[in-house]
Amino acid sequence: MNSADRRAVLTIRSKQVISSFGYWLTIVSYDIRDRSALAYIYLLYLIVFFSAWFLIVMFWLSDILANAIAPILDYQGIAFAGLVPNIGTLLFVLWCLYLIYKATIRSPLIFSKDDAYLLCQTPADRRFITLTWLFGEWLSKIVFISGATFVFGFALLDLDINHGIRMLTLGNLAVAALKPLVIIIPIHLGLFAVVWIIGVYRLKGDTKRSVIMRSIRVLASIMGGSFFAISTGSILNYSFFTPFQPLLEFLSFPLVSAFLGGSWLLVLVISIGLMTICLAVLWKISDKVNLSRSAQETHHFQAQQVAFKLGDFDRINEMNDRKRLGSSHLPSKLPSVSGAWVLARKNIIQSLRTLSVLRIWSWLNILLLMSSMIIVGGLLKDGSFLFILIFSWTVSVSKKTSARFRKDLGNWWLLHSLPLPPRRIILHDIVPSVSVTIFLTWLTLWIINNLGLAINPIIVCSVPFVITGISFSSVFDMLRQSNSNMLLEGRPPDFGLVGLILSFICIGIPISIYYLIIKFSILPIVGIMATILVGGFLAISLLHLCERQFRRIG
Amino acid sequence: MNNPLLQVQNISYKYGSYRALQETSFTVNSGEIVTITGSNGVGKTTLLKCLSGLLRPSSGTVLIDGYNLYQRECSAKRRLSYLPDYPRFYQELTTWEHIRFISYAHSVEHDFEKRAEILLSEFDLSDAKDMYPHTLSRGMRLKLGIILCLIRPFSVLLMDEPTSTLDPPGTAVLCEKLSTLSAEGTAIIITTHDLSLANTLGGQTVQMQRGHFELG
Repeated sequence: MNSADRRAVLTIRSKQVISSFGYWLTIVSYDIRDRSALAYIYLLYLIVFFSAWFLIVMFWLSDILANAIAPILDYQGIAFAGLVPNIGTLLFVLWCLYLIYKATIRSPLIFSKDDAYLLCQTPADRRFITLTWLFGEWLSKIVFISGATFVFGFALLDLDINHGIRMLTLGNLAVAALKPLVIIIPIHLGLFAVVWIIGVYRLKGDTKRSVIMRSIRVLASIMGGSFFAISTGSILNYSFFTPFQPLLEFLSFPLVSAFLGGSWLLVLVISIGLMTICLAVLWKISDKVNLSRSAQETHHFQAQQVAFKLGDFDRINEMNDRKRLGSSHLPSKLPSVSGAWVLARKNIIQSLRTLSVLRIWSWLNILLLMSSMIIVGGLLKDGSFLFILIFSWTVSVSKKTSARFRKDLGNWWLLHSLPLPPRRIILHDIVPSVSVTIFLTWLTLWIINNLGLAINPIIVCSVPFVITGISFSSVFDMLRQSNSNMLLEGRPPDFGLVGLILSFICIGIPISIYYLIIKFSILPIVGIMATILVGGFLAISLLHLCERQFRRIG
Repeated sequence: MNNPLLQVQNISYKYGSYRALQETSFTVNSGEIVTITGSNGVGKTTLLKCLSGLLRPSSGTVLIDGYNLYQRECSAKRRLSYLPDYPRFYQELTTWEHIRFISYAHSVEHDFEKRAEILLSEFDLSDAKDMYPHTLSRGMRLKLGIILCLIRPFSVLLMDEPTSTLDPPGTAVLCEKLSTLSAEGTAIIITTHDLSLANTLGGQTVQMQRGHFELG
């Protein structure tokens, strides 16, 4: 490979790393392409500001960590100094095993479609590409590892001098942070290289090596499980795990040396030696790595990463759903009905085919938030926390009950072509999720009532109207922001502030009635009637607004 | 054959202050085919979107078989079929399920399977019957869009560049279908850059310029 090839590979990779770095800098309004003097002054200001900010956050996190662990240690009677490396080793080993597990499934070399066009078909040296990609990836990881090392180092120092860290000089802090970091860096890079060795070995040539990779996965799972059990058992001081103590001590020896001194130089030399060996092995085996296979496996993941950075969660969901759906499916056996009921049939098919643990969890989340609201409001009487819970519950209900309608808006051409009045389209999309939410809310209220916390009938009666009102509010807000061109491009808007304000009005009315009934000792039946009448009127009015807004899209 | 199926009265469209479509009025009678050509950005797609009801015009109104598109939308939509330039589909429904969905929504139950099979076979999509839209090529997706337009009853057909990504056999089938539909009395408006398609279809060809559309 000549130097021009190397320069080309380095240019592509460095541009990626710089652009990823630039992405984070745009958050603080710094444009890396801006070469003006003012931009450099601003960069200097950012460095000074964030260095100070970083130090303060490190102090704060280390203080939290020290305060959280100290009481447990006092109770268990173990010295803190002996525990930190154990926790560190546990996290480190589990993380490495997880990465090894992942490397047996997906290539550690991540290529976008563009990278694949630029590199995979060229005769560029595979070894050089592998190492360049490894260092690019490692650089982003080491930032977080360094942060964690600083926190651990500061926390140790903080405890060691009994929370007097603010009195220390910068020199002591630098030693506390840098001493472990010097050891952590080669250890991390060495382990990173081990993960890549497995990934690269899997992608060598055209062989799949499924049996070897499956064996590694099984071994990694067993090792991870055992190590977790042994470590937690030892940390909690169960005598059953005492025989494993030498193993733990052996594994945590590098971290003990890094954080607590003792054989520091020896460990540094060993870790640098091991890191060099790992990198050399990676260099040796990566000569025939199949970059096309790697690109095939990872361009989807890379596209998801880009979508995540842009905050395009709809795109991520769409990509995940496509992956889950596969390429084909036999026609659904659900009976077909003509007219508006085709929407119900379509909705059932769509829901069944994209059912996932995450989607079920989002329903349970509504249930959990509801029970928390009642417990916080009824027992703890904590107003500010209750408001946060009501806000979260409203957002969850809005999202969940309007999700199907929003998805249909993204297929505006098909939805608009249906010879159905807007009211029926909205109702067919909203009613199933609203019904499930009402059922879940009533179930929560029933469980809480049976547990001994009395629920006022006004609250029970208001549930359908509040949930329907929230749902129509978010639908109205989506329709208000929609225009034909964005919908035809498949970019339906999400509900915003207007939807939330309307939702809060829907929640506020029954709560106001409830307080008026209690304050003026009015008969509960009057409150129930008032809730039904006002809630019903509000829901119908909102539906009417949605219908009008639907017709106005253009 | 002089039954006016599409009556356009003084419609115009503005994107903010930019007038994308100059005020125009015209009528397309039963059995007529109108082919609209013109450079990119002259307003062909905007005109078709206004005629289909997807865009609400800044002024004027559209009557489909006598029904006002913006007031009696359901009746008008039962008689109107529109194909956009880039049709989008439900990603969870297969080709066959899309056809079933649109057919049943328009209450086409009688002989549905037979008609659907014929259309799939004519457009060479039979093998893709159980496939999800995201696995179809652009041309195949356009074919699916055409099938969805043709499977249901209509008297006015609007198609925005229906042959842009079609293969030659697909284009031939579409031309044949459009000629048959025209002979049966359907009013058809299509936009295209393909002048040979306009010649094959016959009917009127109108060159649109800077939002100005005038039917002779």
